[in-house]
Parts: sequence; C-alpha cells; structure tokens
Amino acid sequence: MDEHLDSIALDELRRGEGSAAAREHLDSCEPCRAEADSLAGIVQALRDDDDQGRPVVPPEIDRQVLEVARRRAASIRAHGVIHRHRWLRPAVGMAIAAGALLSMRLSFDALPSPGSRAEKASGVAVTAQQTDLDGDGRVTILDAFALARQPASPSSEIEDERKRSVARIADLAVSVERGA
Amino acid sequence: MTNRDEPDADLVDRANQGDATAFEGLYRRHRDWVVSVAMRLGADRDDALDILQETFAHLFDQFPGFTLTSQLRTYLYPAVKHRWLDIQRRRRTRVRLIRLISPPPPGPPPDSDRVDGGRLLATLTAEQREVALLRFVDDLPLGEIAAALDVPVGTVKSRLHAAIAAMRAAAAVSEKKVR
Ligand SMILES: [Zn+2]
Repeated sequence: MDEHLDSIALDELRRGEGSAAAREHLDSCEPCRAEADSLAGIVQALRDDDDQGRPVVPPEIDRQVLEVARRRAASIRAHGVIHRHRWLRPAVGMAIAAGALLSMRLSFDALPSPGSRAEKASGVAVTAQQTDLDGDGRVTILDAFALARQPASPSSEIEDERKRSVARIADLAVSVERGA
Repeated sequence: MTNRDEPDADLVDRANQGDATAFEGLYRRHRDWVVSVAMRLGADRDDALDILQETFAHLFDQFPGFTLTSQLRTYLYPAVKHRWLDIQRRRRTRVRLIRLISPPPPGPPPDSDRVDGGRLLATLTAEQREVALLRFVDDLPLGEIAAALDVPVGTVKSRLHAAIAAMRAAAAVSEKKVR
C-alpha cells in the first residue's frame, strides 16, 4: 500500500478494524501515524466534552421509570401478551379510557352485569367486584397485585381465569392512568 | 439478575418474557446515553429528563414482542430525536437555536494544550456533528449510524470524512495559538 490512509481507514484502525495492509502501512508511515495520533486526540476531546455537561439523573426519575418497567413486566408475566389498543389514535384512546373510567365509577354504586359500557368501550371484560379489589374506589395496579396474591385454586380453570383477570385489570389500570 | 456483559438482545429476550430485572438492565445501561443525546440535540436538563422518561416508556410499550434487529441505541436514537422535535413542536416556539444546529460562540482560547471538544464541534455542520458524536463518543459502527439516521452508509462516511477534516483544521489552529 503506497498511498497514505484516508481518515475513514485511520478511524477503522483506531477501532481495531481495517485491513492488515492498512495496519502495516500505518506502522511504517510517519505522516499517517501523526494523523492517527491527532484523530485519537480529537476523539478523546469529544468524549471529555460529552461527559462534562451531562446531568446526574435524580433517583426519583429512576424510580418512576422502573415503576413503569415493573408494571409492564408484571402484565407480561400475568398474561403473556397484552391486548393494547395500539391501532387507536391517542384522542380516541383517551375518550375510551374516559368512558371506561366513568362506567366504572357508576358501577361501584350499582354493581354492573357483564357487558357494561366499560367492557364494550375498552374491550376489557371486568366487573366492579373484579377490578376494585382493595375497595379504594379506584382501579389501580394494586388491584391487579391483590388478585395475583390471592391463594391459588386447585382448579386450573379458575387459575387460568384469575391470570387473565390480573392481566386485564393491570392493563386497564395502566391505560386509565396514562389516559390512553 | 443482569450482568454488564449480557448483550442487549438477551436482555430484550428476557424482557419479552416479563423479567423486570431485564427492563431495569436496559434502562441502566442506556439511561445516561439517552440523556446525552437529548442534550446534544439542544434539550436543557429538564427537557432531557422528560425525554428520558418518555423514551423508555415508549420502549417498554413495545414489549412483549419487541425484536431487536440492530443495536438498541440504533433504535433509541431516532426515538429521542422524535421526542425532542415533539417538545419543540408542542411549544410552538421558534425552533430553539440548538447546539446541534447553531454552535455556541467560541469561548476564550484554552489555557492548556488540551484540545477542547466543544470548540471542535462548533466547527461542524449539524449533520457532521451528529455523525461525529455517534461514531467517536458512542462508538457505533458505520452501518448502525446509517440505520439510526436513516441514510446510506456512503453518506455517513462522507459526513464523517468532512467532520474529521474540519476538526483537524480546528485542532491545528488551536495548537498553533497555544504555542
Ligand atoms: Zn501514510
């Protein structure tokens, strides 16, 4: 290799990539080695600069993000696949969530039968007794946990239904909370 | 449990099965980088932290059923960028003169012979800066940068080539000033 290395080739060598011929040239060519050194200096300067301005992420943010992760993981474990209304535009999703919430509020006063507006609107078949398990008047992820923690039934059918319900409640709680 | 050497693809597999520690592993591994990218694009601290939360909420929303076809950062980069543009759009303010597009005015000359990264970046165009940072700071392969930016690899190479030339020139000037 007679020609000097271009900057892309020097960059590849910096990363331990590039051809044997290029490496050989670099080892024996003073000007290319000087170029390689200057590139290394530039890279170091960019890295130092990037490190400097970055804020420390407050633990509160970590906690919030990881809470979302925990909920998502719990839903997956409970149900495998979450049937979200991904195809809905946010405004439509919001309207449905609002409708579901309203129906549930109403249903706490007059216990509804299956097939309430909430079910039809959100596609989540749940009743008031099944959703607000801790009786705090709201459907939250805690209700899903409460159902998941109940003693196991020897009937596999009941167990399956319970798992499905945990997932539905978790899903509903998450979508209501997110307003989507 | 996660260990530092576990590939993203394995963490993604476990997250798809509902393993909370895998979600946490992905978050801890890429958290600071997401904040960095947001700030490079021009976000201030608070916006960068909002973008961090939104980006990971969006990522987690892809599970189960998320398939990783390249490095996770290749997926996250456009997601961060999208959120930053969204914040700007929502505010309907004049597009803020972001660091990526409009470099800060050069400060006083450095008092050591150390090359100042900020000054080097200030000599680049937005596109050159983006490529230079993804390559030199984030260490992404050229193909992954192309995927993240949705441009051909040849374009990445030519931007990188131009960026190196410009930064070399700037570094040479500041070295002369120091001497
Ligand atoms: Zn040479």
